[in-house]
This record gives sequence, structure tokens and C-alpha cells, in this order.
Amino acid sequence: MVEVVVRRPARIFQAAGWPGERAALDAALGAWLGDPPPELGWARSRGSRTGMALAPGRWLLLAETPALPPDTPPLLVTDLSAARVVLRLTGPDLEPLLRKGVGFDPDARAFPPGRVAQTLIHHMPVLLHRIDAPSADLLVPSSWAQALRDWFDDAAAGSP
Amino acid sequence: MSAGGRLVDRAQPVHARFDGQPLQGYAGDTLASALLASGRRVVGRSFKYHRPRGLLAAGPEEPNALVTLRDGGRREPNIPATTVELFEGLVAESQNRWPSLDHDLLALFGLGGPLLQAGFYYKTFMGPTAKAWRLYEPWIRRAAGLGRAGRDPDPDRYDKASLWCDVLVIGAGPAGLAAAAEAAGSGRRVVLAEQTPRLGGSGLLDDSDAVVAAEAALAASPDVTILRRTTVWGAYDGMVLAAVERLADHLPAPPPDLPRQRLWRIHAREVVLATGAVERPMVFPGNDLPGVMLADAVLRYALLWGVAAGRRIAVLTNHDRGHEVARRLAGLGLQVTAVIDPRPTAATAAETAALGITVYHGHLVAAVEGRHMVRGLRLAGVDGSAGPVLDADTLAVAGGWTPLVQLASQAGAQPIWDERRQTFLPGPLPTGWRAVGACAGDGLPEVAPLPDVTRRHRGKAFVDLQNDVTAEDVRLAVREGFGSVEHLKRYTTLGMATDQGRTSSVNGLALLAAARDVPIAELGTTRFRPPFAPVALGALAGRSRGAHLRPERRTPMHDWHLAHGAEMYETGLWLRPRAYLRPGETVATAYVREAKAVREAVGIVDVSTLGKIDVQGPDSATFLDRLYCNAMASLPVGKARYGLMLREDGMVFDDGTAWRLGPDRFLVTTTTANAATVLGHLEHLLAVVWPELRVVVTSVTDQWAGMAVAGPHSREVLAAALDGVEMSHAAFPPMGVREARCGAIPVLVARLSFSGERAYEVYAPWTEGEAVWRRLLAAGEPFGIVAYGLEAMGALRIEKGHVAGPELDGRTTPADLGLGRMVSRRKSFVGSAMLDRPGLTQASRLQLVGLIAVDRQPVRAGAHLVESADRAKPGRSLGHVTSWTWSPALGRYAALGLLEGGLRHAGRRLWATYPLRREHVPVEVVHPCLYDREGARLDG
Repeated sequence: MVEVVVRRPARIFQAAGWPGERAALDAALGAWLGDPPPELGWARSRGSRTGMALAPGRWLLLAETPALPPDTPPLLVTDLSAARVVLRLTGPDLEPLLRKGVGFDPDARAFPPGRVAQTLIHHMPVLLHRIDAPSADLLVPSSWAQALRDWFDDAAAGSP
Repeated sequence: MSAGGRLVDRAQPVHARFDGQPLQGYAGDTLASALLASGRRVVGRSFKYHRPRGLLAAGPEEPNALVTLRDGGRREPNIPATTVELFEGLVAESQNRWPSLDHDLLALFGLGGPLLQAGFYYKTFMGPTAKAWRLYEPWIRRAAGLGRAGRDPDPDRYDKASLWCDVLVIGAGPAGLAAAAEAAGSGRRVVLAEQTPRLGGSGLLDDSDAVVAAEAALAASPDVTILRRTTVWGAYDGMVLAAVERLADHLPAPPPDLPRQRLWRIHAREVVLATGAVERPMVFPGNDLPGVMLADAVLRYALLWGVAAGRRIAVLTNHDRGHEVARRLAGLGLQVTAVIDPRPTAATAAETAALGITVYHGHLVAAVEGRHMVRGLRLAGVDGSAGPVLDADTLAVAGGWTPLVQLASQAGAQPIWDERRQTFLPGPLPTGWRAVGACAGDGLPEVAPLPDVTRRHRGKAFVDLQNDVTAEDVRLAVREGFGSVEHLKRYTTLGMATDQGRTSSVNGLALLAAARDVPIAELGTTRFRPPFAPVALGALAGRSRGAHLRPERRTPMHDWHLAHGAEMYETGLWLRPRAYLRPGETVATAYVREAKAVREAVGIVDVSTLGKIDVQGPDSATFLDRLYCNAMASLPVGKARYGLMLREDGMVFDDGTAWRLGPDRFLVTTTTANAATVLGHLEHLLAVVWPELRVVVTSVTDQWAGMAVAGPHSREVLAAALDGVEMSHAAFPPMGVREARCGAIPVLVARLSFSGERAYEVYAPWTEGEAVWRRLLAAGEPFGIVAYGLEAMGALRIEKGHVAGPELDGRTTPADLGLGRMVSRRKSFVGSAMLDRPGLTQASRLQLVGLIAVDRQPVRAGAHLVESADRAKPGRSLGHVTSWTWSPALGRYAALGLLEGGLRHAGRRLWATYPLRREHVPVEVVHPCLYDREGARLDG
């Protein structure tokens, strides 16, 4: 049993920078997030804001309430607020359901709360963020959102 | 037997049908055990000779008893009856017989036996007689072969999922159970896969209480996943294994929420091969007659299902465990009359004899008497002397054991010959693999090599029962030069049936070794390949079929399109409107109306599917200058430019526009089809080729909904719908880019035209796409605005000679497309180094032209352009048609094509020939811009 809830955070920004400016980047991201930015492959949330470190020098920033992007430079910011939909999956069968779609081990020991990973589910690019043991957020490009929702409905129809 | 059977519940009768006749068994029975209990001896006909065949085995290695299950969309042929769990209402049919199993007229093939030996097809129908093959093929294919698949769609669901574990144990016999328990005890994640419904394997024959206890302990461990009815069928690189779990095959139909089967991709850190071993038959004349069975199978049928395989059983064996089986069968109350043993002595022969069983040392079976089943056995001494004739209806053969090493072989292991046990053992295994139990040779008896009786005694002696390969076929292959194991397999088909030679491979190798006079160890084995056992295509497809074959991308206006009559078309993975059909319209009439509206009034088209890339950073302009063949750095802020990207080899890669939004920021658009490829190309260039450039590229395809408003009234529509932007020609010239508002929604507007009319592209945040679309439609209503689809868009661009996917076919240069003037000679860019190659500049290259139909016949894409008016003798192809349409503006068929020498042929008449459609259409070669060449309409 997994419940799927679809939502759109108020703001989604991609922030990018160069490793040589790490201290300045961390300061700008930290100021926006209210916490030091997360390590690569991890998310960190503070209040209504979440930062995810997707790749060296690349972060995705989510704000649940309207917010301005972090001060630039040195960050280069791209507004993706309309470009992503979030599917929140919650339920005891989260892992069996994910195992039908993702190519990495979603077991909480291998993919603990706070971890993020970019992967494909049935050809669709997704960003997976483990919230806690029974729940995860899937960020999917807007044009795929309905197809991904349909895929989950179909995948959940069989027993785990 | 009147009682017994560890797996059956005699309180629960189960009713099935076999070949239309009622068949009764009990819960826990297999179709095979029920058939055997019912007294049915002949359960199938052989592949080639249609010989009557009975059960040989009790497990998945069964080569003879293949049946077709169910009917309609669930019809499934070639299933071993030994693997079918009996359920109420099961319908099964025998195969490869006509008109019936007991009276198969096709058995006449048996009389023509020598004609059908190995290599028959190659010899008879290749070379000079190859034409005859076409004549005979359908007939031969019908006669030979197995069951027929159904034609109805499969109604069942199939599923796919992955598993990750520390240890995958394959096989749940005693060794597999012990390995799983040990791994689970050390806190590792374990997957235990067992192909039958019951754990225990051979343990069920010895101590079923121990099996129950081991199973309970594993089931209680949270880190152990037990997969029953699951066959691991493939071993792949990186410790990835494939398995299929049969979730509902033992039920009349899958419950609504359950898939029929699930394909597992298992990622394991360690693989424990506990697949056990299968017993081997022996090769002697008549060894395929119903009643000749594996001794282990006879014991299993008696112990597990309470079925006596026969009334007078003889045992043929070359090892001591064969004697033990004979004594156990006798102990179960079965009448065992004799043990035939080619060895001069046996350690436990006295114990066997003490039970009243006659032991024939130094003897073999030279012939089996009976037509449809065993009636008697003619023995012969191993020295060739004549022996007695025994009265028996069942011959239980114990010819040694063959470990199931196929998965290890798939993973790269080379099995090694074990002379003492006369079998191949797994050999050194890849890292992370180990074999345990019988699969590793543990507990397998010492076996005496068998003398070959098939040279001395007449009659067909079968090696591969499923493919009807005889001992003589093996010798023939050697005589004809096919003496390696791989050649033998291909020439005779030995081991190539669905059972993958489980019961035949070692016997075949022994015969091959004898024929070549070399030791078996020297021959080696063939390399096994997936699948280890047949896998249903449905399981391989999983849920990716029907509507779920591929995911569909939708634009924000998708629902609007559907509500307004759009016929949708899949391009890439996007769904796009082809045309909006009004009552009584077809696509052909609707697009004409839409295209006319664009030329005469105004139209709007959804272009959200175009690739959009945000390019920013201090080196953005430099980067785009190197990326496009035309200049980009000079583009002022607030302007857009059409751009052409080339591949390294100078061919056109993609086209689109670049909008300069700021000194260090561009919005780059790509074709719909190439969006992801272009982004990958950009990322590659930045990461690998020019890592020093400080540029970030990000896909914003899903951030922006796009819509193009085109037509003489487009400016008025935008003026009415948008605020914050001056729309006059002077303030908003062609190629201008402006920010504006549509109500409260911020939008980006660029004055770009694909149709040749005055046109604007409006980009709104994806979430607001439909709202802006509706506002533009409302604003356009007084001007007669219509929404138009892909067909009208295609017609408009062909009329204007604009190139698109069909022309950007990877073989065209900018000059070929008439875009040579765009190529900058003052800078380097991707592809510039190769553009001047002679091959890319010669005058005879295929170049873009326009084509106008001379009469009213269609000029189709794919047609070749030729000089001859004679359809029968079209002559050499000078080029081909790439895009075509019936042009509403011109009132005739118009096309774009690629023609040798291009516009040097302008004004000439050629023919567009399409042999498959028998079309040969006269066309006139013209400039590709077929409409408004001066571009007057761009400015309204």
C-alpha cells in the first residue's frame, strides 16, 4: 500500500557554480537555506526550504512558500518552478514499489532518509529524495508527471 | 498406490481434463503424477519421428511430456507436465499428434527414419535444390515441432522488479537451505529462489521434517526473501541475474490484483549455486519407449505423490545408488523384479538380492520390447553375448548424475570432467560464485563408464529425446566432420531443445568421445547461454505493453487539445495534435482549413515540445559562437537568431533559435526530436572539450509552455492579449525578443516565423500554459483565430521551403540545404574543420529543391527522382522526396526533395517514382521556397 500525492512546491531553483569558489558558493547557499548546504547526493531541509546536492557544483533548491532565489553571483540560478512536479509516495510498500522502477537499491540501509538520486523510471527522468522510512519524494519534469502517475498506479496494482 | 505421497492431500480431489478426457488427482499432484496415476503411458509424440513418448522424469528436466495448457489468450504450449501443478478445471492437451495421441498418422515419419537423420535439411534443401525448400518448408514445419501458440491477446498482467541482496541462493534443496540459513545467520540479506512450489529438493525424499524446520527458520528471518516457483534463468555481467516467478500459474486464472508472472532482476554480491543434479538416462535401442524412466523419478512419484510407475519394475544402473533406489522402491511395496548392472560386481548387490530382486551383473539392455509401452526387456552381456528376456512394464534407469552447472557456465565458468563420477562439475567459478551440494558433486555416486551398446544392437537409440537425436546421428556428424562439441550441437540440434540437454548432454559427449576415440575431458562442453529454461515473452515485456509500452509526454494544453477535437500523434514521446477535427472533417480536410486560416487570418499552434535550454555564464556568447556555424556572439540583447549546429563531420545536426536574454544569458531552442541529444552534446562540450568555459546549461523544456501565433492578424491578437509590450513593427521588429504580461502571467515573446506569415512565439510558465493559450484564443476570436496542428504546420513550412527532420537526415551540409550563406568563415565552430572536404563540396551532392506536381497525383516522401517517364524503366535515382503535402496555398501537391546538383535542374521535369505503390508522377523542379519568396508576408 502506497499513497501518491501530487504537489508543486512554490519555488524550485537550480543553482550552479564552480568548485574553485566553494566557500562563496557555500555561503550563498547557506544563507538561503539557513543551514550549511548538504554533501553531494544528500538533501538538507530547514523550515520550508530544502537544498539537494545533485552533482559537483549543482544544487536544486525547493521552497514551499514563495521565495526569492539565493543572491548571485557566484551562483547561476535557473528558475524551474514550473518545470517539476513532486510525487510524494508514502506507505509500507514504498520499497517494493520503487524496486519495480529504479535501478538502485532503495533499501533504507542503502538509500537512507536524506539521500537523493537522479535516475530513470520507465524512461522518465526523476529525482528521488528519501524523506523517511515509508516516504519519498519524486521530482519529475512537468511533461512526464501524468505518465509517471499512471505508471505508479499500474505498478502498485500488482502485489509487491 | 492406494495411500502415501508426501506432497498430496488425498482428502482433496482435483478434477482436470487431458485431451478432453476427465483426469482426477489430488491437491499437491502435478499433471505428470496425475497422468501416471491414471495409467496413461503415452503422454506425447516426439519432435521428428512422432514416436510415442511417456514420462521420463519428475522435474523440469522432462524432455517428453510437453503439453499445451489452457485455451484462448492463455493458451501456452510446450510446458513439461512435470512442472504443472494440478488445479481444479485445468485443461491440458497433448502435442504434435494427429488425429490423436494413441493413433498418430504422422508416426509414418518413423518409417522414413534414415531420410530424416541429422543434417537432413541442409543436405536436401540447400544448394541446387534450394528452391524445393520453399515448397516443402510449410509442410515440414507443420509436421515437425511441438505445440502451437494461441493467437488471442494474452489477458494477463506481467510484472518486473529488481532485488538487491548479499547472497542469492539458487535452489532450495538441503544444500541450498543450509547455505541460506548460514548467510541469514550472519546478518546478510538473502534471496532464496526455488523453481518448484516446495522447498526441500531431494530432502523431501529423505527427511521432510528437517525441511519443514529449515523453512520455518528462514521464513522467520526478516532479511530472507523466499521466492518459490521461481526459476533463475540468466546470469549476466556485474552479478546481475534474471529470474521469473510464476505467481499464478498454479491457479485457474490470476486473481485481479496479481500478475501472472514477475520477472526479477537480482543484484547479488554472492551467488550460491545449489541447483542440484539431474539423473541421466542411458542410450540403448528403444530407450524412448513409454515405461523407460529415470530411477529417481520412479522413486519420487512413489514417495512424493504415492504413484506406482509400473507393476513390474526393473532397474538399470551402473552405480551403487541405483541398487539403493531399487531396494527403497521394494520397501515401498512396489514390485521390483530385477537390477541390471553392467559392472561385474556391486558392493550392495547382496542386500539387493536379499529382497528377492534378481541382479544381472555384467549385463545391459539391448532392446526394449513393446510398441506403445515397455512389455519386456532383452538383455545382453557387456561382452556382446545374448542375455535373458525379462518381463517388465517399467525400466527405471539410473545412469549417473549431471550437476546443473548452466548458470555458472553462463557466468563464464568452464565445467571440468570428473572421471570418477562420469560427469561435468562446475569447475573454477567466477569471483563471488560458489557451488554447493550435488551441483558441486557432493554426494554423487561413483559411476562406471558405460559400454556403447548402440553399435552392436539394432534400433533407434536416443540421446536427446526432445529433439529426437539418436546415437547414429552423433556418429554421422563425426563422419561428416562436425566433431567439436559446438559443431555437434548445431549439426544434430543435440541439447538445443527447450530442456537445453539436461538429460542428454553427457551421453552425447560420451558417444562423441567414443566416435573420435578421445577422452571426454578433452571435448569440454558447449557454453550455456540464457535462458536456462523457457521464459514467456509476456514476462520479458512486463508491464511495458499497450498504453504502458512507452510513457507519453504531454504539454500543458493537452486536455484542451482533446476537448477540441484534436487527433493526437506521437512524435518522439510527445503527444501532439495532428489536426483539430470539426464535425464531418477528416485530418485531410481539417489541416487545409487550418493552414488557410493561418495564411488569411491567424492561427495558434502548441510548440511546447521544442527543446529549450537555458545557457548562462560569463562565457555563454563564446560558447554559442563555437557551437553554431553562424555568428552568435554578435547577437544583441533582446534579439533572436536562427542557428544551425553541425556535427564534427560537418553535417547538419540540429537547427533552432538562440534568444539573447542578457549579456551572459541565452535561451536556446532545439527541434522536438533532438532536445535531449542537443543538451547532451552541450554538456559533453563543456565537460570535455572546453572545460575552461564558464557556462551552465540547463533544460528548461518543461519550464516554458510555447505557442506560436501566426498570420496577418497575429499582431492584433497579441496586442489585445498582452500588456507591457509595444507591438508596432518598429518597436518589435522581426527576430525581436520581449518580456510581457498576459494578465498577471509573465511571458516571453519572440517575433519568429516558421510559416512565412507574421508570427510570434509566446512562452509562458508551464503551469500557466493553458491559461495563456486560452487568453490568446479569446483575443483572437474577433480575427477568426484557429488552433492548428502538425499537418498544417508541416504544409506551411514546406510551402516556405523550411527544412525539418526529414531534410536534417545526418547526410546534409548547410550548403546542401541552401543555408551555405549562414556558415561563418571568420570563426571556428564544431564541424568547421571538415566542411571543405571535397566530398562535402562537390557539385553532384544531393541538394534541396522544391518539387511541384505537374498533374493532380500525390508526390510522396520516399519516392525517388528519376529522368525517365517510363515507370517500368525508371533508370538511375537522382535523389528523393523528403517532405510532401497537398499545398492549400498552391492548390496542388508540393514537396521538398534532395536532388543531385540541386537547383541546377530548376525548371526541369523529373518523375517521382514509388515502385511499391506503382506510382510514377511527373514533377517540376523549382526553388524550395514555393510561396512568397520575397518574404513580404513576414512583415504583414
